[in-house]
Amino acid sequence: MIEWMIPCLLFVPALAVASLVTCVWLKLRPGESTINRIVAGAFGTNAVLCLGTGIWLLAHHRFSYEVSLGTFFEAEHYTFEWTLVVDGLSLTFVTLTSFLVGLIGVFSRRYLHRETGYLRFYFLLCLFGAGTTLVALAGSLDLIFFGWEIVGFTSTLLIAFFHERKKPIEHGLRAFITYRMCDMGLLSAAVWMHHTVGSSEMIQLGSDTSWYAFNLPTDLTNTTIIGFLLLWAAMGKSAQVPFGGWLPRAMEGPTPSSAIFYGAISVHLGPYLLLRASPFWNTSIAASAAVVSIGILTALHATFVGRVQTDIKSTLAYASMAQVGIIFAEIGLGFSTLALLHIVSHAIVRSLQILRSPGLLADYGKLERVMKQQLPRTGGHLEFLVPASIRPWLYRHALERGYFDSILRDYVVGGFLSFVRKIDAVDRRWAAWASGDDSERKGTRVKVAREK
Amino acid sequence: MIAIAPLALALLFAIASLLVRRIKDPRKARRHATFWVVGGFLLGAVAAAVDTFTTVHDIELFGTGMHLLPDGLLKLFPVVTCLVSWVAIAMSPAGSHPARTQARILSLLAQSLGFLVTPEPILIAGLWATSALTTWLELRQVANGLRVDRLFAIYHLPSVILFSLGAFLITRDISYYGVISLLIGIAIRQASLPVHSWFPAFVDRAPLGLVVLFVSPQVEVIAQLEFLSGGLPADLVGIVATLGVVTAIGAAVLGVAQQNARRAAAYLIMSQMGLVAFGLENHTSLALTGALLTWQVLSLATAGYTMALAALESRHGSLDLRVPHGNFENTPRLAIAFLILGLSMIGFPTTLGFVAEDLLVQGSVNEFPSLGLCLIIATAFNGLTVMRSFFSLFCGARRHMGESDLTRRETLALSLVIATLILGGMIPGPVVAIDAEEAHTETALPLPHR
Repeated sequence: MIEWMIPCLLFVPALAVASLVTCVWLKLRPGESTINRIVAGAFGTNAVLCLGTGIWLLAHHRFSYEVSLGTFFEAEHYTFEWTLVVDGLSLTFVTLTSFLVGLIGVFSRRYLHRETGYLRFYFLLCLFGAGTTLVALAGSLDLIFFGWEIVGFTSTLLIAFFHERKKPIEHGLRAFITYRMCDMGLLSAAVWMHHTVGSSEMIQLGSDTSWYAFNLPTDLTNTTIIGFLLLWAAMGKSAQVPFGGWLPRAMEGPTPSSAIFYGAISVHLGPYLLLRASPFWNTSIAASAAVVSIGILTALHATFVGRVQTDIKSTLAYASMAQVGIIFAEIGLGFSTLALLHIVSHAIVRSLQILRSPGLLADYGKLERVMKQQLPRTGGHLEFLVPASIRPWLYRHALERGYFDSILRDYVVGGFLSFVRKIDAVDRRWAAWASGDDSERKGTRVKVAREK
Repeated sequence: MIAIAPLALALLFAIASLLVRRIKDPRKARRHATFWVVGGFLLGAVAAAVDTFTTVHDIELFGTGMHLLPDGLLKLFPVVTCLVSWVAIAMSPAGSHPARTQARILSLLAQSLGFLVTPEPILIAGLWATSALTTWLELRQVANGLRVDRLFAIYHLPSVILFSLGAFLITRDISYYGVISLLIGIAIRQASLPVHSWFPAFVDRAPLGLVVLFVSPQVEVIAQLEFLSGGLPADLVGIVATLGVVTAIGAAVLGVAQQNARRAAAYLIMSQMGLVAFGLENHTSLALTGALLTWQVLSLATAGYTMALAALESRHGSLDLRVPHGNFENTPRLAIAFLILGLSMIGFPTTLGFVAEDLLVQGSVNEFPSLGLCLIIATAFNGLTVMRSFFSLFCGARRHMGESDLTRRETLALSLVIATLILGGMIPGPVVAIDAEEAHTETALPLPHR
């Protein structure tokens, strides 16, 4: 029975995606309740399948199960296999994803009622659910990359959901740039794993009760290199320092998608990847030290910056970032089970907070009416820990978001673009000179009248 | 041996080109050209099916042995090229593509198919020259005094001369210098860095249907497969592979900085052609399989992506990336097609591009570890170009000027390309098997005489 239950965890959302994409391409306009039923039904079914899989494993005293769906493609010695793995880690993630996507699907029915992008929202939500399920069930790093890219893509398009405004588009593009730069790490890690280990498939290391994990190269140098590449990939997806600037901006998207992406699932895929790579942190001290350092640095940065934010969604974004930073540190220190518990509890609490955030002022008003006074300030205890002399500096630092954004904008991206544009200008001038185009040489472009 | 199906199709399209040229109304010319191309596509598909599923491969005609189609991977080329032309013609805006341009598109299609007729160096060199000449003649008429024709001639005249000289030297068994001459001719046509400057200007100003037929079939890959089977002399392999990677990365980086969608597309295509050039120099059949698959994906995706730009330009006018155009709600199908085709080019999962680039990177890492990893950087930057173009061209503003979405004719052509790329991406096994067989044959051949 389990042989078909595990593939169904993937096929059911894929079927829902296929039906919605057909509607989008053929410009069919199904009713809101039909769309809602498709998505909530698919992920509701998945939640039941997760429950069934869990019961089956318990009944058969198994801690994991592996299903092969066959070969995707093969050439020479290289084979891309579709292998799905269910163990404590993947089942927890898939259950959480199914439950939350189904819940968000139901919640959004009213929230996005009569919104022009209703079908688009549900399509992207469903695609995200399918991508996350694939990441969680993947039996190899190649397959994780497959789902990982889908998740990044849906996240970008949902940030830019309100596409007629300029800011969501800019923020979506910023998130995409971060994802794309960091996904290079994941793909490089997969390629390097094939090069050094011979495959990127996961195996069960240690006892039968342990989670599946990536196989280690035989030497420490390659272990450290791959460890750093995986950490690089996780930093982008989980908005760790210095790549975290996109996360508060990502809150431009609809609140339900912000809740599931940046409060619950997407932001925790980085820790998920690190948990799958736990043998790397146990073997390479340099790599584990980097994981812990990045985590602690992010937690501190996000705590300080979050405290000076003036809107609730940005505050929650930084709170998410801080918690994920702590989870990074837990993984680096080897507390894998604690990290998993932390992920689940944080995902549930944070998504609830983000879903409630649009009604925050009303909630505060209600509380203040009951208490008949203004609500007291929170977090004052932290001020006692910081000497008065450095408080103004820290406040400035927090307001500037740690200067990461400005350094990135002015020196890294700005400098790079300015350099590339200079090269492009030289190339254009040469082409203009060669073609005898005076207008191009003088920098005033003659527009070719292209008929409509 | 002569391949009879490409010959018949080439003759068919040459006649069609003459007939279409006589029509005055561009819309009527487009209807007729579409009819011819769809017919050619169906004939090519039937020929491929007969060649694959029956035993009719070799035919004796007038005392000469003939193939129905070339062996291996190239037997798919007529179908793919006809599909590319279908998209180019069906989506060409009547305003920027008069009957003359459409006739030249058909003529370029006939010449591309001519490359498959026989691996005779002189014939291939002749077609190399005529295709450049056809394009140049068109550029002379559409350049509106901007003299892109002059720039095109500055680059393509040496390309034609060097290619022809190389082909001649190879027939005279002077292989080493012949190969060098041939490679420089190919590098110019492939717009490899640093001999690329004609390409962005060409894509920026030429009618996009013509651009598609000149670029998408990538006849230089066929020339490479025909003349340089088995790989290059050892001292040239590293140079050509490095040049391929430099082009892939350099063009990807320059693409990000462009402020016009046509030029951004030019650098995107250049970068992908660099990947193909790099892959073809690998001695592992895995990387070669990836390069061949990237070539096929690039042909289809480039055609769709470029013609989606043409369709958008005919509706919007400007394709400036600095200004958000925002028309997603009115043209959702065009926007989605543009995005999917762009993502296919950069190797996004669920498309055939993902399989191609995975094979290319995995295969090249063993032979050129650092260069192989550089490909990942190139694809990352290309992704930024696609997404930036999508957001600028379809989002970010509330300006709706009554632009219409894709017509039925355009939808059908683009749907076929998208379905091929997505179905190929979901079930890549059969296509990869054909490419792997071809790659195995190529790598098994002896190296050319040094």
